[in-house]
Amino acid sequence: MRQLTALTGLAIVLAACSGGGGSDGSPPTGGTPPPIGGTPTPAPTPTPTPTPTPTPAPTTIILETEAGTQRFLAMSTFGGNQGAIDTIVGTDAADFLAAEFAKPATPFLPAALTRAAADESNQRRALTSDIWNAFMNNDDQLRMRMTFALSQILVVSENGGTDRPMFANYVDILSRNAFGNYRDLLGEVTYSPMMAQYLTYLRNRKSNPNTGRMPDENYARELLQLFTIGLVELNMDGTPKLDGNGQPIETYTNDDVGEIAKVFTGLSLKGTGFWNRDAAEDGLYSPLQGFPEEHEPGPKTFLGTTIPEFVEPTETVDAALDHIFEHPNVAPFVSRQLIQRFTQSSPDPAYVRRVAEAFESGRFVAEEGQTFGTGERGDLEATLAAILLDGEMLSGRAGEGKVREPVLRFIHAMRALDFADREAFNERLLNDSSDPSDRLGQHPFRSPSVFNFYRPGYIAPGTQSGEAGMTVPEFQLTNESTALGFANFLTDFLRDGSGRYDNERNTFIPDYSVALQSVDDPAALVDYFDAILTGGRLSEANRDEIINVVSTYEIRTDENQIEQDRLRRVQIAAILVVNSPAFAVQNEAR
Amino acid sequence: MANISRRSALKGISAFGLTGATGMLSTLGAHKAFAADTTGYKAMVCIFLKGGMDHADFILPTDTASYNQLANTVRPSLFNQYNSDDPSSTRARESLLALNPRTTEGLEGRSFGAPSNLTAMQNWFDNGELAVVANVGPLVEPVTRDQYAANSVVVPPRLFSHNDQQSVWMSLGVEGTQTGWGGKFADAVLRADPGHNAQFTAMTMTSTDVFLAGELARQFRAPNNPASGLKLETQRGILGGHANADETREVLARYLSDSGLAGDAVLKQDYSAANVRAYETSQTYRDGIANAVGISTPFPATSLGGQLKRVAEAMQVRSLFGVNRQIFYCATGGYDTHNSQANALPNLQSQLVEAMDAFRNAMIEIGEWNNVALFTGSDFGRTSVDNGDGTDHGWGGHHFVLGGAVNGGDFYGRFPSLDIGSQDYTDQRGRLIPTTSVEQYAATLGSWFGLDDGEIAAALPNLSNFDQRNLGFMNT
Repeated sequence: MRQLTALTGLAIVLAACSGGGGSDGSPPTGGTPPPIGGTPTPAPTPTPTPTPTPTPAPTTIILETEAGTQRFLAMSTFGGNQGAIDTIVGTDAADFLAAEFAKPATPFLPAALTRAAADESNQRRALTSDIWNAFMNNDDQLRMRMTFALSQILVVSENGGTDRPMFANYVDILSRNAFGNYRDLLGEVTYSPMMAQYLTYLRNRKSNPNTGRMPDENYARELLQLFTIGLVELNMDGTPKLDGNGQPIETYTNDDVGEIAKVFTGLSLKGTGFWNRDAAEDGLYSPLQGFPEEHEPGPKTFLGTTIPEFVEPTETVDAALDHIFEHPNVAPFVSRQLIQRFTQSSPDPAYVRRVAEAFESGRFVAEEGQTFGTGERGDLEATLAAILLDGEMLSGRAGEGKVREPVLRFIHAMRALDFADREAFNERLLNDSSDPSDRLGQHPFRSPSVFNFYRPGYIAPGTQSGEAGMTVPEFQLTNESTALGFANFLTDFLRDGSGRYDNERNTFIPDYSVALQSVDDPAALVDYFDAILTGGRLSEANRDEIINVVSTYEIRTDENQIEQDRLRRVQIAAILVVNSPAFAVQNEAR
Repeated sequence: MANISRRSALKGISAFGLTGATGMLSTLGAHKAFAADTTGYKAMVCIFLKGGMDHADFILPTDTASYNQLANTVRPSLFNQYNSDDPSSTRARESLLALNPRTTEGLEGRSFGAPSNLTAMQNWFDNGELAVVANVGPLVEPVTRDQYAANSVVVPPRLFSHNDQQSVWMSLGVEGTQTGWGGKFADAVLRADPGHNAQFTAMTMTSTDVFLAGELARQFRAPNNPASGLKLETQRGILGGHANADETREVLARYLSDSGLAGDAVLKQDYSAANVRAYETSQTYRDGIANAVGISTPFPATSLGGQLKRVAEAMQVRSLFGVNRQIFYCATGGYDTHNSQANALPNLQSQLVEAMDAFRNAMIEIGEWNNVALFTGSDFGRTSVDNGDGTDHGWGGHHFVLGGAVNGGDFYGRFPSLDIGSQDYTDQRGRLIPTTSVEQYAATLGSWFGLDDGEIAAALPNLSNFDQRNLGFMNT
């Protein structure tokens, strides 16, 4: 029986590889893309991972300790409190996942429709609050975590003009298909009015030779580049295939884009006419309908296939999605991005390969024999199980870790510290947390563009990880420009000082009752927050320094001051731990 | 150690801090002469138009033949959406604001103008402060349609893709490239002038894109509210009133400045280093801005207006920051006009021109107008042929340079033919093949900024593939 030894480790991390080029003299992984016209960069050699001590034959992944359980929950949910840890400590992580996969989806659309029917004010705030609340409070935590992950791959961004039921329906598509098949998901996304409006193929018309008008190329391009195959041909491990000159091979040409643009013509809202003068009442949250009169009639030739002329619009779209989905890039392309959202910012290629193989086979078998997935290619349950139950990953040997995006860190803090009455609708800061200089710099479903909050290939300039060629998408959001905004945002909540719409009603009320029990012992106080927030991963130096700050803030003996001083000391400790590197980064190599 | 002040060098000492410093020294050693001219004060201000700006809907032909060709043959649906037959339309030929260049050589009888809602643009042009650079885009070497079709010359990678072409414009490499030409220009200044402050040489008012990323330069993102600091430290309610408040603040400040606490994991160290820099730089910036007299010129209440206002405020107190060369980065989005272009683009253009005009007036107010070059960049231009109510991704496009030191009132580069079948386009969608390279555009700015030929060549590796190294739109 293999225990999760890596997850049981102490706070002090003694990683062999620090990433700054490799102390063993090995070249860094990845590499800087060549400048235009520059000398071709030799193919990046993957870092030979220092050969680890052979792992004993795996049998079961038991969440052996509270610390290990805390860390597993931080990966597979929006984070756990003591109660959640107590519930599953000592059990098999695969059983926990199986239970999560079995939980049904709860739709967002009904409440949005009710509000629309009542013509309520604040419908936008209400819907974004529903999403915050679901991420923060729902029992189906893995589904919500996956919904958030998918929202960062199949990106739409809502704004003030977005129809609420249309948007709610889109969230439901992601949530409903979170453990389904990626091809089905792609189909529902493609036929969703939300995506059609966002990427401008709603009422996209066939070409007109007389005026020279050509079909809109927007969706054709982003479907290929961002949702399915990416720009260059990939090996199963997510690294680029190289041609004879050591150069990456592009997956498609501009001609492919032009041809696929013709596929996405003649689609409009459900109803009796292309221009939707008679759109159905549920048109904005029903699948798009094909209108042959505005569909490009000619053949469409792309990526080695031809859809013949005069095929009905939806039949054409389905055939095109089927063909694109067959591309061998889909498994590594989607798998690597999902890994980045859950466990590793710059995953080792071998880990990507293992996950991509689960995507390909549609099945993952855990070490105790629990089987995940239907066996069909593109199965997301199998893919997720492969991501979260990977033995190498859990042992800290699948990458240098993940920088957790601000939304994850914020929600985790609220959950772990048992904030009471988490009703986002009453919180001014949660109406829009996008501002990078004084808020989180991130708000669910509000990325600046279809390119998400950050790019999967982002390599942060001027950092050690950047020098090592590591992709760390989250550093595009989490950097010296945004650090104060994040700290101040969390400080407002941790001090119970966030602004409320209804001042008569307290929401997001911190519960420091456990922390206050050790307030007179600064080391114990810091250790409490370290355990519940990071799984005991503060570095020793960091822990010592936080204890030093906390100790300096003395608790006065005056009866009028003692309670306030005790509370403030607790708050200072909490604020410093949520801003620590150990809270920001998970799964560092060990 | 040209790159960091003595203070932060001492503070930043840790195992990796030293490694970093050693690396920088060896970089320095590779450059024999530090030749950039850093006397006086000069600032470059980039406005990046995200999404791909439709150049052909910004500078329009005004001579009848060209106008009719564009409006009736190339993009009739779009002109129809503008109701361009109505004389009050911003795109009606008779309403366009003439941009009469000082030299008409090469225009072959064609004339150009701006949409009628952009009167400030015409004023700048007439004042000789605005240069229009036609058909700029990323290039490795000159290329024609036939060469493009035959794949016989090297072209930039991943054309027509937003994120990659933004990166190529800014850094000459696809997404993931580590340094931009703005950052490299800043590096040249920092190498030449060891006293120059590395944080405030390259400042972004928006996202930390690759444009300002350098080897020595550390781009600083100016906070929207310069007075904001770390609440834990600055908010009276947290530590205030307590007997140990000052002492706690001191211990806290030491803790927040200590980048050596993260432990061994590389990502934790990077995170910690960013937090420490954020904390220290924001303090310096806050203290500096607190001394500013302030700008009385009103700025529009748009994102770009706010960004340019903060540029002006930062310039006003530059002496406190120890800089006499600065590169600023601003950006504004919405230019990806695949649909509803006739509704969306005129507003975007008005917002852009209003913000630029306010910036111009603010520069005149603080006496820096002759020291500033404001210039635009974008992912790409757009297809000349429309898609019904919008345009799609293209390649080359027209750009603007504004400032007191600009040789304005003139066109630079070459305006393309409107014959979509000609050598000027990649294909029948009318994607414009650039005739002026981004590197030529950048080199012209860099030369004015004070970089010598060697420094410019180091920052712009493909420049040698082009005959003209300086387009002449800046006074030198």
